[in-house]
Amino acid sequence: MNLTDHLQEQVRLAAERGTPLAIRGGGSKAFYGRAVEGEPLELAGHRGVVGHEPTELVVTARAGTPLAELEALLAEQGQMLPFEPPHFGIPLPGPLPLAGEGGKDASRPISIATVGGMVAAGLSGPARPWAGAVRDAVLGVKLLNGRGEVLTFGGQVMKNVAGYDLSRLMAGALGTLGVILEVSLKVIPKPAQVLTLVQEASAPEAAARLSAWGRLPLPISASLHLDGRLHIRLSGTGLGVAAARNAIGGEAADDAVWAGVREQRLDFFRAEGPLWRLSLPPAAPALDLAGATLAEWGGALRWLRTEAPAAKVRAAAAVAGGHATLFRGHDGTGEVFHPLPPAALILHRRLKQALDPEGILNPGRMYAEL
Amino acid sequence: MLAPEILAEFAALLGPERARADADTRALYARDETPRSCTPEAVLFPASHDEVAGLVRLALRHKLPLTPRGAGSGNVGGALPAPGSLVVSFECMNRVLEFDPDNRLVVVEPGVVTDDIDRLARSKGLMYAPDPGSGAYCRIGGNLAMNAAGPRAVKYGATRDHVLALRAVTGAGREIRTGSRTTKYATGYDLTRLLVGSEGTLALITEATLRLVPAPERIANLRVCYAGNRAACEAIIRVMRQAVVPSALEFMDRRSIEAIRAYGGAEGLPEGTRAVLMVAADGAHDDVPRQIAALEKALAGEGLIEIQSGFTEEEIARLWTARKSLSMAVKKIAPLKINEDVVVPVTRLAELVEAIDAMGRRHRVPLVAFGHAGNGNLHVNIMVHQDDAEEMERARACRRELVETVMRLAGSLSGEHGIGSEKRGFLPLEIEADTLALMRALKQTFDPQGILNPGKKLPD
Repeated sequence: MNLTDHLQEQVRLAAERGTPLAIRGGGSKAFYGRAVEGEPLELAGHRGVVGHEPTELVVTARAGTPLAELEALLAEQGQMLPFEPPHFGIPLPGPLPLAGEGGKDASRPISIATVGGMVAAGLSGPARPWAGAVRDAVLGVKLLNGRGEVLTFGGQVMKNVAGYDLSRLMAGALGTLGVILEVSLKVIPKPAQVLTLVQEASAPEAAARLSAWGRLPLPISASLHLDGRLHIRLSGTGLGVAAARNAIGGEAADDAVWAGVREQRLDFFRAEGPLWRLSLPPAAPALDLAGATLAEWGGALRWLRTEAPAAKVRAAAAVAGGHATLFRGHDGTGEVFHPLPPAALILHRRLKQALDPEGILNPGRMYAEL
Repeated sequence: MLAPEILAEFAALLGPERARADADTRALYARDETPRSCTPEAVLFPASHDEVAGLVRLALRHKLPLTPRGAGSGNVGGALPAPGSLVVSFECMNRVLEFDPDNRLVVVEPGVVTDDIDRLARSKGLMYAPDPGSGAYCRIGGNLAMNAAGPRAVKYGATRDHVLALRAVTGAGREIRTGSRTTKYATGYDLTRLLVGSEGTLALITEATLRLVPAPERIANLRVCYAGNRAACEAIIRVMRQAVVPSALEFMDRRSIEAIRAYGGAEGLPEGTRAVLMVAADGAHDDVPRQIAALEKALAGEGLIEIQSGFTEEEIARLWTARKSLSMAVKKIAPLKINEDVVVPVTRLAELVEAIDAMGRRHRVPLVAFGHAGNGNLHVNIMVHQDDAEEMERARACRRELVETVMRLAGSLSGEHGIGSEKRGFLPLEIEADTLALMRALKQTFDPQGILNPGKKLPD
């Protein structure tokens, strides 16, 4: 259903009255970022795939389209989203099924994630370092700015250098720059074969192996290091996967581990307390902080469970050349994302001002100042 | 010419050798690869980030526009000096600041030659994937400004997809750092991707952290001959919907083949060939033959005349003979090449190629189309004689029709060359007024006095 007119009216009214709006898709990633005080602006009804020619590797969907529905549609054509977005929104803890993942009981909660929320959150899954992030797949975006004007950036072609690249600016902006109405995404054919391997490895051993493999043309499409075990996923043609298996070694393992880590259903994620998401150079050594670590993305993404003070975590991440996000286990009032340097903050404020002059769109969701 | 006392201020910052207003230097920097020129007031050669920051502050104080420049190899006027501007040439900022094979990244200044980055990467089994045709002499700063790309983009993406972080000076004279060294984006808004492709209109990039990928162990090529444009375009669609992504998928249309024949470069092309695809695969040694087999299967179909494969360097070179002779062959048609670099969805390519054929006939100008077809990106060359006013007029009308056709096919004005001064007049055909207004607001945010590369990227 196309609710553009209705949504436009709501944003216009809010802009006139200076009413802050809390943009909401399925609510699956409501925990992510800071809390927003505002009138809810519901996008879930604005749904539907508006363009998908199976021969073109592009799909265009309204923001409220359920992510599970989009993925099912692509799967029918042997296609997928390259960045494997997490759905979340399945109550934790509990190994509940995702749509299409053996969820036979229709009454049980399944994925509530929407396409718009997926882009706004900008979170990518296990394939990200090899297949690109959400924003790499965004070809075009239609949105409402903070005045309720409909703007269109980019389009449906793979390459486009006309104008500034504003569509990608929306990925990960958490709705602070606009209400995403519609998005065109690059899709890819599903690989012919997928194989998961597991081998024993300490953290330094895993880092050394990943670094060595990273310089070889191997069809690695995911990595996971946890509790002395290194999982590797290979995706590609049958022969390529078989050859890579010989080069890498290890026992075959269950592919389900990737959905487990993507949806944070592994035991590691179920513990109480703060969960940090660290972005680090892939070869950076483990941070000198007490707590448990799970490493993905060839070492570039580390999940850290620690009671260490936020300042200490952020400082350690910065020293290692990365940054830290307080992902779960916070009350939404403090800083969640790594603080911005002053010059960057000035630019961020002006960008926000240009797109949302009244400051009504998800104020404070990303940073208190935005 | 620049007032001597102002030149002296720049000379005090950069040294007299790197702040020049002599006639010879100014003449040398008056043009890029666009067939137009405009002599700048002076040419500045900063050698460090701090010098760039300093010269932007001086330019702000004296309200002097700046035209940033890499190698001047662009063909849309991106580095064409704006009237009254100072050229900022990044030739002296040509250091590799850091090479970190373990983290698969390299930190470079904007004046480093693109192919040199790739060579460095390959010394450790890695590669820098973007491969613009000018790679041997263009500079990475220009690649970043225009979001340059080459044949490998169909598999590996364009420049933007390989930038992890940037250091830059905005038009307000502020230093910014965007992105981070990790493969994940940094905190905050994605300013990295905003600056890449902004054609030097928002900030001057002084440092770039680039992502490297494993170099393939082996490359193989296919030269595929078809009886007509449509047969080749349909094969492109079949290739792009199966799972093996080629590392190049280049198309040459009927006119290209005719030009090559006239030039004498068509030796080895079978009789009846009216369109050619050049297809490449790369990867691990044992996997490449398997990829080639899958690609051959997809390429076969109605109108196929011949598929030849090449696995050794010699075989590959032989297959590329015809393609390599194309740019010389095209110049034989007429001296001036008006190069459009349009993109349409891959499924509309056949329609575009047919429309190009028809409009060339209607406007009586030779149109030669070839390019990176896997991305729907075609280089359409209108071949003309610059001194023939009547022909130039027909070429202008043809160009307008080409752009309108591309818009009708849901395409875009440019896939990789950029907008510069040459295409900005067409931008309102692609981008709506409200969106353009927002882009102007963004420009204002980064460059409040409008000193960075005026007259480029956005229409007046």
